[in-house]
Amino acid sequence: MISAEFTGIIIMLIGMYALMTKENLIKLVLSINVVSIGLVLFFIGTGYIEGGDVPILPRSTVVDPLPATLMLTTLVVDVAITSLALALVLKIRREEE
Amino acid sequence: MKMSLIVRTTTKLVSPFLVTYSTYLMIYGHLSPGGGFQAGVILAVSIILLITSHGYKKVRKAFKFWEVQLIEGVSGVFLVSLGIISLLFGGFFFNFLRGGPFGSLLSGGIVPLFNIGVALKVGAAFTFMFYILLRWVERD
Amino acid sequence: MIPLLVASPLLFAFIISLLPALGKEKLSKYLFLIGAFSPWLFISSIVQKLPLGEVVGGWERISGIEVMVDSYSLPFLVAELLLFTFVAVYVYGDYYPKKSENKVYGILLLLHSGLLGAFISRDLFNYYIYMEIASVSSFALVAISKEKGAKKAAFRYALFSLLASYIFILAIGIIYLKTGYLNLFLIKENLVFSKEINVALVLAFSSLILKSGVFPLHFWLPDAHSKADAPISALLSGLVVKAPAYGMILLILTFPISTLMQNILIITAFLSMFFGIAMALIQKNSERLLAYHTVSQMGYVLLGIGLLNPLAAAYYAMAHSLFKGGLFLSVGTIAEHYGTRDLEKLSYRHNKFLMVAIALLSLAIGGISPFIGAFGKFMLVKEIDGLLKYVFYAGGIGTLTSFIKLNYYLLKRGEKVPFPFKKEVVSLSVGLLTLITGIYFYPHLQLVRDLSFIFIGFVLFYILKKLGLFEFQLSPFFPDTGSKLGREINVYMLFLGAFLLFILFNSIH
Repeated sequence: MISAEFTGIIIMLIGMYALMTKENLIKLVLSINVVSIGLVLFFIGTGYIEGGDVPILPRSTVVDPLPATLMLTTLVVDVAITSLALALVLKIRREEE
Repeated sequence: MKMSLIVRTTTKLVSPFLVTYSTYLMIYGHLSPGGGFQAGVILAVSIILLITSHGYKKVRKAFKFWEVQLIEGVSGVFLVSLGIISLLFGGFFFNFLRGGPFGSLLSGGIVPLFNIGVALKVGAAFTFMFYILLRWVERD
Repeated sequence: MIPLLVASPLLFAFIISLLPALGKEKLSKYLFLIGAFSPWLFISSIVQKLPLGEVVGGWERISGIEVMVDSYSLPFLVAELLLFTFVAVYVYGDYYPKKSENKVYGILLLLHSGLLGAFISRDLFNYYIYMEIASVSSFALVAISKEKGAKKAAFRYALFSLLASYIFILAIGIIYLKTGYLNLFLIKENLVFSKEINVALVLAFSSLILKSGVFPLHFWLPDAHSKADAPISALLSGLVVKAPAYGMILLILTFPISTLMQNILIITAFLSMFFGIAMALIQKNSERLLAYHTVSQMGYVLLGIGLLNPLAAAYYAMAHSLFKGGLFLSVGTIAEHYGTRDLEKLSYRHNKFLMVAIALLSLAIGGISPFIGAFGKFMLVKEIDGLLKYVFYAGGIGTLTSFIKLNYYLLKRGEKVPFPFKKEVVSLSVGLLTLITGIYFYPHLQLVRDLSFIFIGFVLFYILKKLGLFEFQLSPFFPDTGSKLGREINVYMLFLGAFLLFILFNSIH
């Protein structure tokens, strides 16, 4: 099976490539979101244990629930900064006209 | 340009069920998957669905600007004062309502209250953000 | 008791955001002032019981968030409280128009609580969250300003800071994968050294170097810090670039650093010192000059970290917050009341208070004893020996030359513009504060060495003036149009990628 950590790092590199070559401002904001999705996948992959059970009233060894909780907080920060960056793009365009 | 009759009727029927689902996620957040942030996002989506199908001005008349701002401010103050009040019982954010049978609603202590506060704040914040971004676009 | 330092400004920030819905917007000024002064109530009871640590909520260390105040975080906390108090008095009242006054006060209080939370945390993820709260507030504060290129500068700052945060979380993820803990105390006990932790440390240091604006990755700093309003620039240059420095101190207290990485940090620090001074000497815009000096002075803090001397870095960071904040407040006041930022049109000849304040602060930043800059440099110099000591002193002489140039331009005769009394008093008190704290920490006077430095500084200044260096026009790298903003970001991102690859390849082999 393909490991989640490896895939996560490849998605981050794709996002960074898009940051280096695209010129449109909204595409830049979206490629930062792609980098964050790759990061979330990498982090959740670090908690995976082979044959682990769901961490709610478990019967055997559990998958680690801590990275999922941390990634919720990271997603919140990402959404807040994306909305601020989109509002800034709107104001930049309005200033030029 | 208005959306068709089918879209407008269906979203009016589905929207209250989304609010019910978000309330379930808020209250049972410590026993099953869910919690504050997820419930808040679904609460905001139930209003944004109405905005995309009915238009911005009609929804603004039903859910006014100052009401949303009031909900956001009050739940923010509630969250921080919950932490400060629990200082009287021990540490900051000390769980002073703990105890209750395992797996029931009361076993969490102040965790369900915290989840409700976070969900209301996040839902109000996303709705507010949508109001402000759409206000610019509608002026174009 | 320690989390109350963070909770009280946050409570007042939420109450301020509640007020427009109730229609009572006039009360937001008073609530802002109370919220800015409220951490002072708690700090006096904490300082008597150093070092004080607790886990929030009364949980165990393995399952809770730890906060601690000890001798490494106390200089940062004291500098933050002092500078924010002075900026709060400066902004209070009539600085912002009535329409947007409410929102600015709320964001300023959020910045305050975010910085306080970052400086007391001893848990890697908790530190990242509070640093993000402070950074997002500062993006919004830079974008509010009325200068011409402010929103583009804020966009560029937001994009690069966010990418650096993601690389920092990648490093935290690798550390969590290898040790299984996020609490710094527990990581230090269970550390088994391996190659992956070395890669994680390299990534973490590169991202913190970008966020604090040291030479190779400084490109967002001059625009963002020079196009903001004067008190906001004082907060940004004084405090927000210090939070990544505190993160670097946390990392070197926990992990063993290899000699190769120490050498890379020391070389980067010296390069940054001289690059900042060289670019500042040819600037004509008063605030861009001060922003390039921030690049140079953060090189000093990085030097303290590279020599594995975290106490010296902490005291130098505290000194730099005080005098850079004071400089931005005073020079920014002059620039705003004259209506232009060009150095040739500004003058302080008619305001004795500002003249004294800028003279005191220029002596402090140059390292003249008994100001507080001399104390910071004394703690750094204790560990360097040989040739590097003379290079270090040459950096001090360069800083003095650049500030002699600033004072020379400001001494010229200009038109008389009345300044509000409050702003002059605030600037003068920050200047006097650097003198008082310098005497408190380091009551020695080294007249011979300091007078010779000032003399060499004057000589250098006259030589450069005769060579015509100050008339050298540096045409900007990219023209200031919006369609080129995407291309600028692409070029800087290529530069960042090349820097990361270079450092990673050098440290793996």
